[in-house]
Parts: sequence; C-alpha cells; structure tokens
Amino acid sequence: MKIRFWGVRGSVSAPGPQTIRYGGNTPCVEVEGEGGETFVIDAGYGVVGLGQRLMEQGNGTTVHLLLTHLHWDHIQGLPFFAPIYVPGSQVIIYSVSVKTAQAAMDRLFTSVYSPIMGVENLGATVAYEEVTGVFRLGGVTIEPVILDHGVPTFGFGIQDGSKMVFHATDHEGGDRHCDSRLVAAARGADLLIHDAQFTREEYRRYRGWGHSHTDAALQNALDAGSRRLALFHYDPTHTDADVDGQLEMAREQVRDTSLEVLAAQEGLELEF
Amino acid sequence: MLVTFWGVRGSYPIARRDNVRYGGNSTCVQIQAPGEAPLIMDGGSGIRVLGSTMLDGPFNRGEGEANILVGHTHWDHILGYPFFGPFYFAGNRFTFYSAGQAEADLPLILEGQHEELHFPVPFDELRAEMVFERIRPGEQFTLGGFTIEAVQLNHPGITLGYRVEHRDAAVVIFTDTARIASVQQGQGMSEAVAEEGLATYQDHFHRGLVDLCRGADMLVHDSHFLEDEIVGKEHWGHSTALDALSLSREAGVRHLMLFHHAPEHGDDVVDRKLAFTRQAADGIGLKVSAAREGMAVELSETKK
Repeated sequence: MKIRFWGVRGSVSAPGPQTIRYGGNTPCVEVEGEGGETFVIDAGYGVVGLGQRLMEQGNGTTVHLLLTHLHWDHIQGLPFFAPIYVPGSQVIIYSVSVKTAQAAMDRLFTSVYSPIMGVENLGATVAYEEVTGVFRLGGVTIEPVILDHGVPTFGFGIQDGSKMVFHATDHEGGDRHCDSRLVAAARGADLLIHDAQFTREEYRRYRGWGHSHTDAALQNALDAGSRRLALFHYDPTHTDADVDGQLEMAREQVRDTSLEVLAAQEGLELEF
Repeated sequence: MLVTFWGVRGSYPIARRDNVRYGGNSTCVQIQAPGEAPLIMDGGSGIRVLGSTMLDGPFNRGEGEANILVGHTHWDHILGYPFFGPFYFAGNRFTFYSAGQAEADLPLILEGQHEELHFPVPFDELRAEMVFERIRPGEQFTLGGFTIEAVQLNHPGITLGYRVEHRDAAVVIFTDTARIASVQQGQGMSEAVAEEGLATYQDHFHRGLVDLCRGADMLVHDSHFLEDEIVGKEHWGHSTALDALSLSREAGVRHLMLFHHAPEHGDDVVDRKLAFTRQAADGIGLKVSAAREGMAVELSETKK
C-alpha cells in the first residue's frame, strides 16, 4: 500500500517561503492499494497537483474521492481538479450524505462563486455514494468512524491485506468516548495520519475548534498501538520551523516507546 | 498613496517551491494614504496575511475602520475573508462597495462561505460592524480624501475595476478582464450588444476602459495568460501581458503592474513574462513591473 500527501495544510492555503518544506496547500491524500486501486481522501487545493498527474496518465479515469467532511478546505480544490472537466471521466464522491455533498458541489460551482457557472457544465460524470458502514474498493476495505469535529466527519480505516492506515482529520482529540472509537478502529495501524493543528499551548485558546494538539495525536497513536504517526493538518500560521518544533517535541515524548513520529509533507510518499 | 500587494495570484492560491518570489496567495491589494481609512481591494487568501499585520494597530482594539472595494465574488477573490482577523473584533467598522449580483446580494454571498456545512464559524460571529453599499459601473464616489470610480470588466458575472485617486495620485486596478474583441463575458453585455450592435458596443466598452485609465500613475492589470496560452481560452475572462500593455499605452499610463499571475506559472515564467513585456514597451516611456506579494509602491501625490 502507498500513501501520497498532496496537501497537508489545514483551514486555508498558506503559500510562502515559511511553509515551503512541509507545504501550504489544503488537504489531499492519495492511497494506492496492493492491487493498484487508487483513491483520494479530501479535495483541498492539494488535489490540483494530483489532477495534473492524472491528466498526464491519459483520459477516461475514474476517481474515487472519499470526503471526510464538507468544510471548504477539504473540497475547495474540486473546481480546479482537471479530470472533472474531461468527458468520459467519472468522479465518485463518497461522503456522509448524498444530499449535502450535492449541495456542496452546487455551491462550489454556482455562478456567484465560479466562472464555470453551474455543476451542469462539468465534463465528467459526478456520482455520489452515501457511506453508511464498511465498504470495499477493489481489494481494499474502508471502515468509516465518526470523529469529533462539530459537523459529521469521517475518519477512515483503510485495510489492505495485513496493512492498515487510519486517516483521522479533522478531529479534536481529548473526548474519551470519541477517541475510544478512533483508537479501536485504528488498533495496530501501520500508519495513523492525525490532525495536529495546534501545539498544546495554543490548544488552550482553541479548545472546541474541532482540532487536536500534538499531544492528543500522540496519545491516540500510543493507545491504538500504531507503528507510525504522521502529524497532519497544520495551522496556516505555522511555519516550517514551528512544525519542526512540533515534531521534535513529539519525538522527545515518545522516545521510550516504539512509536515512530513523522510530520506529513507535501510530496511525501510512504510505502508499507 | 501607498499600494501594497498581499495576494497577486489568480484562480486559486497555490503553494509551490518555485513561486515563493512572486507569491502564491490569491488577490488582495491594500491602498493607504495619510489620515485616511485604508482601502482593501478583494479578499483572496492574501487578506489573511494583511489581517494579521492590521491587528498590530487600532483593529486589535476594535477602533479600526476600512473600506473594501469588491471586484467580484469568485472564490479566489473572497476565500480569505473568513480568515481576516479584524472581522472578529467588535467595534471595527467595514464598508463593502460592490455591484451586487442578479442572483444574490453581497451579504448573502459572504454568508454562504459561513454555512455550517462548510465553515465552523457562523457569519454572525464576525463581530465587526459591516455595511454594504451597492455601486453602479460609471458611478463616482468619495471616501474621505479618496475619489473612486468603477467600471464593469469583461469577465463572467459582474466584475468591477476601480480607479482610486488621492490628491494628484491615481491607481487603476483591473484584476480580471478579457479582450472585448473576442468575446463578451460580463452580465448584461450580450443584451447591450444586441441593442447597440457589436462594433459599437466594443468601441464603447473599450473607450470606457481607456478613459478610466487615462494618465494613471499605475495600472494593476490581469496578465494571466502568456500570449500562446490564451488561444482557445479567450472566453475564460482573462488577459495577456500584451493586452495590458496595449491599454496602458493607449491611456498614457505611467507604470503597468502585471497582476493575477496564473497558478501554473513558476517564478521563472513570470520573470520571462515581465522581460518580454518590458521589451515590447521599450522606448514608449512606460515602466513595467510584475506584482509580488509584499511589494509596496508609493505613488507621488504632489507631482503635477
């Protein structure tokens, strides 16, 4: 199984010299199964780069897009996702509800916000699937788990044979009930991708905003017995040096455990 | 009058290793003059960074006042508003000037960005006072010592360009506009063409742009496409650098600032666009620059 990070920044894109190493584009993660089945989690502006790569591979693609939720930073890249304009291509959107996903697409492409002037002007076919429980894409099994983020938000457990990745953003760690669901589903994950928007100090001011601090991500990774933790969804005000600091402190705290911590970086590819 | 660029990128904000010199934030321009409430044109992702600098002053005490000139409401021009810090402080006062839209008025359009499905903070939790004024293309109005005039541009929906004068200084900002000769994009334009005839309407529209730019110290203009890239995309509502140069020359503009760089263009491409345009402008007494994030241009107010 392969994981590619196309966008790792939370809330709003933050381009500039201060974010060049980890990346400033909003979330998008690509997952490739052992059998070659590919799917995409979230369509922040990171999805634009993925779209360009898919175009180079030729037309007529089917894109399976899993949406954690419908906050702008997780869907705003769709109007600039090249395959969505290609007749013969298909984009299948998996989300909490077909009705709200359709409403989100209508808003993204409506004439007041977009020169495309309506979702009916897309070249590709857009289909909607409501995620109500465990489902399969080729040989990959996907288990949705509701996270703590204000609006209904999915974490996704992705299992391919003996390999497992758990994708957990956006999530405010700390609520025992909600964390226990996440931990149970992420048990033994080879990789846990976890919201780490804030440092512990910052979190004091942002409690209730639906995001985790680094220590909460660490706690969930330790409780789940994950092999690796990837910090993800950085605050737009965080510079590369800030993320370095988050990573360094996290590694220091789990020095005596077998958990390996890394900070997700645009362009990073992990293989299990 | 000081013009500062906080976002110069068109279509969407983009973080790339090879665009950090010009910058990847989408459009936002600030205009300041001594003793005046600042003007802000557009709320692309650049406005987040502007907002954090404004919180060093009266906007952090709820004593700030600014006027916002809305060009249009496509995503790249509004997606930064929910991240503009000064909106969250009670006591600050913002007046938006916009053309409105047939489908929805500006408050509804901004509120739409705060729908619960899409954003965690409801619109009514923005504590600053917000006032919405509707203006018509061709209308002139004053804000303190600023004199402002708007014109409709050739871009899908209703898009305004603005001329802003303070004492003897004048800047014109056309963020998004296409050659009128190839296609008419703006709301109401096809009706006007039907009424006046194509040639007359084109001439009329073009005269309007030239008149508004006449003698401006600086024209900030859409230069999205390279000359070969616009072929087949004339209807996308954007210009090339040579389109901008041609208007500058005809209107006797002093300084052309290339703006709305395409997200696909790295710094080296913008460098080449600039070099090519400078070469084309050689000998006509026009200064040409390419807008960079963080760049501030002072326009002399007492030269004439």
